[in-house]
Amino acid sequence: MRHQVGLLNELEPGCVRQAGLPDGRPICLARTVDGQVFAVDDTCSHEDGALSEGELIGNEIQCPMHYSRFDVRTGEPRSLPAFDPVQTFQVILGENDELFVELPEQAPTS
Amino acid sequence: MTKYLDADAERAGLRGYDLNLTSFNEVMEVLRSAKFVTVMDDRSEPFRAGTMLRLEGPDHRRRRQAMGTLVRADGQRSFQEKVVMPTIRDGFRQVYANAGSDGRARFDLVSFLGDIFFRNAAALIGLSGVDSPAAARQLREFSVPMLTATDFMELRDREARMRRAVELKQEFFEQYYCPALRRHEEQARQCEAGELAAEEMPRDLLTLIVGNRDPSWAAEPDVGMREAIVDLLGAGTSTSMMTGVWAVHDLLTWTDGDPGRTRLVFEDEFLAAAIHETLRLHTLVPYLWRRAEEDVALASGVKIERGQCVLLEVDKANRDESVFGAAADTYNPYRKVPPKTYPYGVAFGAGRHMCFGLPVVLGNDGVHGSHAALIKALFAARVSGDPDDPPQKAADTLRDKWSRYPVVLQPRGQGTTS
Repeated sequence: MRHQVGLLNELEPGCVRQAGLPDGRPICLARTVDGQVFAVDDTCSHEDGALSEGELIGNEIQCPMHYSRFDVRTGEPRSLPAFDPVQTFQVILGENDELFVELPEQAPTS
Repeated sequence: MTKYLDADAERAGLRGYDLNLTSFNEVMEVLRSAKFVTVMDDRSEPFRAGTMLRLEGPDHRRRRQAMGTLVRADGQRSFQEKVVMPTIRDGFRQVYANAGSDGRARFDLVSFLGDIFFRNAAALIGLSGVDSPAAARQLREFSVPMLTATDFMELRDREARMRRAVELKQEFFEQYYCPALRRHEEQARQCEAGELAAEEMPRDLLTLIVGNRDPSWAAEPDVGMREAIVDLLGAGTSTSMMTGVWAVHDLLTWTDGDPGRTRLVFEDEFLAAAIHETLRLHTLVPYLWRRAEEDVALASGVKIERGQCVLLEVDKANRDESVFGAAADTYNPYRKVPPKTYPYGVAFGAGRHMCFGLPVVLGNDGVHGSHAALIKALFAARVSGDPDDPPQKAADTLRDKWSRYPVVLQPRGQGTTS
């Protein structure tokens, strides 16, 4: 399932911003200086810092609260104090520069 | 080892507690739990004069994010390049300028690192004119009586020290803080008028304060100064300085003149692990306190009732054999720790109140922090203990620290072993 999270021109290279999923969960959109856009869970896996309020350094987003760094391409932590990865989402660019994230299909509930 | 004598704790006026925890996992669980809040009862209210903010929740997040811009990402890189490295270079120039006829520089490592970290802290605050080793020493000598009075782990003459600290606080305001604040206010005005580019504003606490990055600074002007003194001049210098001395001591002891081992000091990953081990074994904050906001059952089964105060014995937690191995008391830079365990233990605390200065000490990448740069510079100059002047431990404190650590550097040009 695809969910639109904004337009490409709303996100400058080297910048990050918050977007929301249909269930209200925040994600962090990051556009690297070479123009690629990535999406990760906005909540740091260490504490409750919002990654979209942090800084993008190359391919790594640094949490503003306790400075953990995550690779936005893989979600893997790159520095302490975080040990666990953050979830990543596939980003798809639409024909009119819309940004979509691909959400995993919900398992049917019985 | 940190002292745990009841008599010392009594002399320090430590707050009574309902139970104490010494296991690493229990200490970490409490620090990371949202069900506990910080406790402050250090008998320094005459100095704080109502300016102590017990920040939790959104206020804490806002302050943390504002202050974090000084030390994370570009802030840390800029601080390392513009302040830490020039400060280290100036420090070395000065000790070599005072070298003996044999070309060897002899000096006290405690004072040397103290001057460096006071200069760094002055830059983080935005104080004016603290831009040389001599000016840093002047600030340090001015500040230490004020800082030790507010340190509840210092045991001697507490009441007399506190009276003097209150006087010094006013002098600090007039001599250091107020002129720097006025300079920042003028820069902010120039910025607003388009006469100064925003990126030319210094990256320091006073810029955050005049930029009103947190309303509590504007609401109560003394809060900013109290934070500058206690949080940056105090916490930002004493633990950093002493960790630096301990790191050199540990490495000198471990290398024991062996060239192969000494070469390892110049390898980034090894040095980072060595600093972690020093931080774990020689924590300068041996106790932390938390109060339960609701009834809690820890994973270990320990039950803590709402309102109970918990003493967290950090030094014992950092030597927990069930986590750090049977030889947890010994220095081993090759130590492997279990998954999801900080190799430096609880040295920086944990959870939402984790130490603000971690990126300065370890670097944002965990490798290229201020301490690695300092240690490499010292070992490149073949630092050694001074055989004629043995180091001395500080007395009358609950912290395990050195009062003097005389060292010798080899003559310039004869040092580097890397």
